[in-house]
Amino acid sequence: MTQNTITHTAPAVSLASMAMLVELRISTWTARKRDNETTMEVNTSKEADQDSGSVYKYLMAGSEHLKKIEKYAAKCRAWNGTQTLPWMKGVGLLPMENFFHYRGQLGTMESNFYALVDAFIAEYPKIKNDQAFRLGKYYRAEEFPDVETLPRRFKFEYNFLPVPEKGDFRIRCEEQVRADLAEQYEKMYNAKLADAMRDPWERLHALLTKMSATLTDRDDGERKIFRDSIVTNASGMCDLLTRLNVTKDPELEKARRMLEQAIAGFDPKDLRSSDGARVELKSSVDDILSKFNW
Amino acid sequence: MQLANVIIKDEYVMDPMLAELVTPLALAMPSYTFTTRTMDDMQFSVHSYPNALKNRSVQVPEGKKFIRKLFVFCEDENLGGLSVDTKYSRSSVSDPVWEISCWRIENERGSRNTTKTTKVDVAKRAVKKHFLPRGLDEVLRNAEGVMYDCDRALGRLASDISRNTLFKNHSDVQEYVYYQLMGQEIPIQLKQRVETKMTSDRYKKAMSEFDLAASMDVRKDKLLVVRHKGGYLYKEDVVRGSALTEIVTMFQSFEELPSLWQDRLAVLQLMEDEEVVRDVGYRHNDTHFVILTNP
Repeated sequence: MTQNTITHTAPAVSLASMAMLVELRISTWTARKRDNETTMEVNTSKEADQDSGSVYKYLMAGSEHLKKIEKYAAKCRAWNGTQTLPWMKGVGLLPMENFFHYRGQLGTMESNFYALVDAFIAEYPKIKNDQAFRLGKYYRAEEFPDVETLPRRFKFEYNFLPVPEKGDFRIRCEEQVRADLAEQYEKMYNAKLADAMRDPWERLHALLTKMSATLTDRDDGERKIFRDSIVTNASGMCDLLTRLNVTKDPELEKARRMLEQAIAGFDPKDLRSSDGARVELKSSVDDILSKFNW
Repeated sequence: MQLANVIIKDEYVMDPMLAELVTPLALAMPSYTFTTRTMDDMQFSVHSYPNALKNRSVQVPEGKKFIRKLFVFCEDENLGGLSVDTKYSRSSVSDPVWEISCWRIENERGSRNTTKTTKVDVAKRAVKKHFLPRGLDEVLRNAEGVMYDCDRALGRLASDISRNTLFKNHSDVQEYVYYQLMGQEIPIQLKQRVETKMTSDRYKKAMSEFDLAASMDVRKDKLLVVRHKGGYLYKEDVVRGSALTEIVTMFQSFEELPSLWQDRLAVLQLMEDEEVVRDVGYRHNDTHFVILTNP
């Protein structure tokens, strides 16, 4: 895929007024502990140096509570990735259009995360006792954190930050150094902005390419198997792109609208039963793919 | 475990078997709310129990009852209901059965809007498949009844005249017109009766409403417009290729609509629900309008 250039997507007004940065940090207790004794035994038995291998034990073996929290944290991080545009590692660019939707769901996720943690902590003393049987000789009571300190190991934190304006350096240094820093920042800023604006195009392109491939019948004339998500993902993307188009790129909006019109009136059931419907939708999707400079 | 998007009336707690279905769904779908919000007293009494469904020894917290039904909302849209009950079987062991109700199930199957299963994973999949907010087409299709409501509103406006409700004695008017046409003198009492009635404020109002309804009724350019997610939805005939026309769903922002439509929608937004405005259109409620598209 060729990369979109920044030329037709340059923001008319300052990015700082149209978006903000969001940093989401979710941490959970890993319950993993290096077992030095077993590590030494294994390395010795393998006639290897002592730093050749390590044995880690999972203190919550056989318990689903912590796994549920870890899975939920992963889900929240993945959701954050879909709702923001890439900016820096761990920091996403959040268009203002998406702010209220994002903030509402993030609040729900935060509460649900802590509800899972509370449920785990309530069960923790019992689980800790059960682990003596599950871990066998691995079990060391002192390796388990206290129930009082355990909540501190779970964090769901987020910060909303303004997008820094270009060249805003307020440090005391020589003019030349400051100019160099500003230039360096501007280069980085433009690169980040280009990346952030390319991201929705890439998401849309990936979706359209996949749709087109799925709607193409196999060589033997049979249709490929597809789920309802062929339509629901497309309509979800149309909805999301209304909120992720941070620079109000008219071309992106045009592509989004074309997709919205293309899928209107089609449901997965029709697409499965009607060859004509598949051909029609595929041709509309291919039309979108051919119209834009991806 | 109290999740932020599971909102239950204070006196109730979720039955553990219902929680088995609802908790993973609430965690997976943070934009959906699982709630007793729209339930009335009758529904609460039908779906609440002092004991848990499967393990009857599980006692509800004091002063509370177990609820076995919840509704699912996405923003303000009611997507359907989830409930749990006992499967009736010959064996003494009664398994729980989850029931999912949603209009999409009826659309797919052609009858009954519910599906039941004894497997919680099947129930979860059914919810994820069917509980989707309405798409643009579906919103418009769901609003089609508004055109009939518009016709009914016009019918109501015209009813006093078209049904002669203001004249208890219909022959009075016929006699009056007959004498008038024949150039004969109208008897004084008849003249008074008819003219008093016809010049009354009530008759004038009825006649102006009849005239308004008639003027709207003949218009063929009535178009249903639905305000939805910050834009406006309507159907439009589109010519593609040759002379073939196709009806497509259009979704535009207010600014993108023709200026005449913008003006008419702006007027209707100031009106009361179910009001008809001459040469403008009909307001069903704050989101559904019928506008006249031509000048």
